[in-house]
Amino acid sequence: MSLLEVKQLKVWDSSTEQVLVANSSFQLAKGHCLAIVGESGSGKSLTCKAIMRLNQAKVQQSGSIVLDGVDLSLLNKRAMRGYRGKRICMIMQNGMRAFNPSRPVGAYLGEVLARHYDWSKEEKLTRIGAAMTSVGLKDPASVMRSYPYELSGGMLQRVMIALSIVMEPDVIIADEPTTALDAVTQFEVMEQLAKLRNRLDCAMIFVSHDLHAVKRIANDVLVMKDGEIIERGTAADFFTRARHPYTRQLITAKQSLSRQFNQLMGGASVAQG
Amino acid sequence: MSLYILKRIGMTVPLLIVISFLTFVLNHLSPMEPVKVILHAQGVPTITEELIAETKAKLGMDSPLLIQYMDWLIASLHFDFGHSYVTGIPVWSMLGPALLHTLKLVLVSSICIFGLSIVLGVICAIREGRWLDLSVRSLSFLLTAMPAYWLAALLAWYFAVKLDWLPTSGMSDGASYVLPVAVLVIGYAGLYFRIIRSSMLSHLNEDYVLYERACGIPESIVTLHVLRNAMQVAITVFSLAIPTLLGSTVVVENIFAWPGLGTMTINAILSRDFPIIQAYVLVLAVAFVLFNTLADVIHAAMNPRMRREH
Amino acid sequence: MLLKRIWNDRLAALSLTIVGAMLLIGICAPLIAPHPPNEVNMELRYAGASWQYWLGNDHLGRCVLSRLIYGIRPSVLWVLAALIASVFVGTAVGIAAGYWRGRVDAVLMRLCDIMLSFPGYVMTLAVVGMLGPGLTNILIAFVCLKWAWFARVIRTVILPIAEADYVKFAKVLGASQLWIIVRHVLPIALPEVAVIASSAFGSMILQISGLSFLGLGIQAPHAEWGMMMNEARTVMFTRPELMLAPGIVIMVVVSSVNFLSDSLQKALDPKLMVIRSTNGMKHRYQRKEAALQQ
Repeated sequence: MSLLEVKQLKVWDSSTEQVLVANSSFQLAKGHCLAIVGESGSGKSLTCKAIMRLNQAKVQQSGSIVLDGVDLSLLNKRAMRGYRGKRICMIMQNGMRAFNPSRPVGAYLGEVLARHYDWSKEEKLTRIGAAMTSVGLKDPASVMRSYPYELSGGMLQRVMIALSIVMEPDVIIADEPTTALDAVTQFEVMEQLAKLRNRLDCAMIFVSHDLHAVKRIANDVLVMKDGEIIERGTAADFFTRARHPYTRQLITAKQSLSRQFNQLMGGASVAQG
Repeated sequence: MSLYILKRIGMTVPLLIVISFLTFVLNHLSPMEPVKVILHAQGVPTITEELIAETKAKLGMDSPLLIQYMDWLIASLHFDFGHSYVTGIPVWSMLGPALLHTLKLVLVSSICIFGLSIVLGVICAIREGRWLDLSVRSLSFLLTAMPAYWLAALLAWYFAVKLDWLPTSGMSDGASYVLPVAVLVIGYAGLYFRIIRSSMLSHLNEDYVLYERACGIPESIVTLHVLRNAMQVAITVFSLAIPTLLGSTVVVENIFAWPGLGTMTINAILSRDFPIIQAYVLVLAVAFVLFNTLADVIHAAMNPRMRREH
Repeated sequence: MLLKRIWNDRLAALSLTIVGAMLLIGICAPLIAPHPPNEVNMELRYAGASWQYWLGNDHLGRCVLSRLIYGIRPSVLWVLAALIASVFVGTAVGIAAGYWRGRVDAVLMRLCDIMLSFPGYVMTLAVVGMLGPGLTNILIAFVCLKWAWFARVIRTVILPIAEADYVKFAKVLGASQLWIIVRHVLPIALPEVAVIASSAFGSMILQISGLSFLGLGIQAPHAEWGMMMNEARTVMFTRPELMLAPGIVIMVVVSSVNFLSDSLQKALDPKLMVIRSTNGMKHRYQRKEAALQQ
């Protein structure tokens, strides 16, 4: 029984009539994680935004997006807004740019929560505080007071994860959540994402071109190229029995890279992170 | 923050000194000796060397340049800009009321300009590429290319003469503001509208807007947040608009016979009344520097990073 | 390459044609104008359009069309000349600052700062006020005011490049540094100079005709667009059509110039479009950002 079912999703630019994502269909079961892999411009992000109906005005879409029996593409704006943030949470690529630069983080979180729950101020604070502690933010109160520029990219990434813990969504869409981070922080954020999935038992769409991360977290993998899904299958299959030449190329590139790295590091096991 | 303001104000002092010196020296760049102008203006029939020397001594024009400058500067600080060469009236008694009249005109126009450009800028940024955006933009493009005096003449002809709705000139009641303000608004709103629009657009494409939407924040509130950030640039530009407008009302005042700075200055230029021109340049340059400082302070106050660190 | 890109945009091509045609007509005015511009013909005062006088006659019976054509010279050609002169002055100062650096650079750039902190219109009035009304004095005022823009741009482009490897390489080969700057560095600054110059051009045309309209510019009987409107002004309410022709011509020329400037900018650097339209603000804003990051 799938939780999210995307059928015949087509995304195109209405000003140039250029098709950006061609007829993609995929399903996502509860508790599963689907990774979408591909180079930049392959339509990964557009697909994610299309699920939340957040593409720019000139970018149009057709097809059905069914979440838990409700077709999101038929909802009116107001109802769709109720889904955003509450049922589907997004975790953005670059934490440093994902928050309004002129507002403290806490004010923003409070506003989002007020949109979806009628909790008292104290309740909001306790819940958010607990979530922040659980993702390793040691001093929630000071984080809430801070402006985005005062926090690091990794911390802001965790703030987004903490927000999705509080929101308890059905689906989390993480759009290249680790790309903008350094290696150590990447590892920690991946840890948190994996924990988040186990904890909420929600479904996750994980967009990345980091095959390490994909291997770690995904059950299923989609490979996109030029707006089309060229390969799909379970994560295990993906790394061993890829059919499409492009996928094989991706995997070999990654393998040769890590082999080279291992050689450079004297064959030590450092590269396993 | 207050330290920053103090520092910023401190920075203007040397600039003000340089500007006042330049203004003072301008007088001496003139191909015509000021003394001769005065004597001409006073209707002296034959100008002899002795007469020139005598007048110079009387007006303190024979002392070294730097001394003259210091005297002039100290007097200017007391709003004493000397006497008009032509009428002999103290400059400030002419400049003061004129400045007030121009300020009234500028304030009314700038409120209209800012209001209009914010409203249009926001709407056009939200509806980017639609017909409304395109038509407002092409219209503003045409209107900025229109000579202000031409537009003024056309409006005056149509509304004041043909329809006889509004007065053609002078500054009597509220109705006499309509045409001059309209001309200034049409001439300048286009520029500021474009700034707001492009500033809004650059913010609308930021990740944080996407994230706010993805969190289910309604579009109207997202727009407000974006506007607030877009205003940071706009505030700077707006605060500079006021002195710019002060200097640009010349044409409008001339056409509508507005008794302001512009009318006064044009007359002064035509009759080579140097003290008035000097005072005009000094007042506007100082206004420019002050508003510039104000712009920086407001900009800092709106920017959390600046607010925290100073 | 650049010209080709501009040509591909139909409106920009039209603007280019208009501006080009204006310049050409202005240069060849005596050949094209049907009548001498200052020929007074009192019998034809305020005459309407006729086959002989396409746009009618003014208050002295002079041919409006011929006056319009001759008006291109002060209104457009001389403004262009002043613009080119200020580009030259600015380039010279910019090179001097980038070449000698150190104290020369500091002094010149502070001077630029001061020039740029003055409101343009007021300064023009100040210079005209001191030197007296007249076209030449306005043009002098323009040159005095605009050079600072170009000096700043040229210097900003020169400084980093003067340090670049290929310049050092050329130095090793024995070329003098000044020659290197002129030969290799200047062409890089050209696009940005072109953008600033073209956007200044439109406002300068408007300003000069405005000053002539106020009686501070060219003196009678010479034909100039602002001057023509000044003359038509006395009969503004009885014969508004006399104001029409010069006004429309100015609008067409200025919007073509502005449009050309926009498309030039788009063709060169689309990203800059955001900050365009506010030359002054752009400069200020960047400085502020730089100060923030320190």
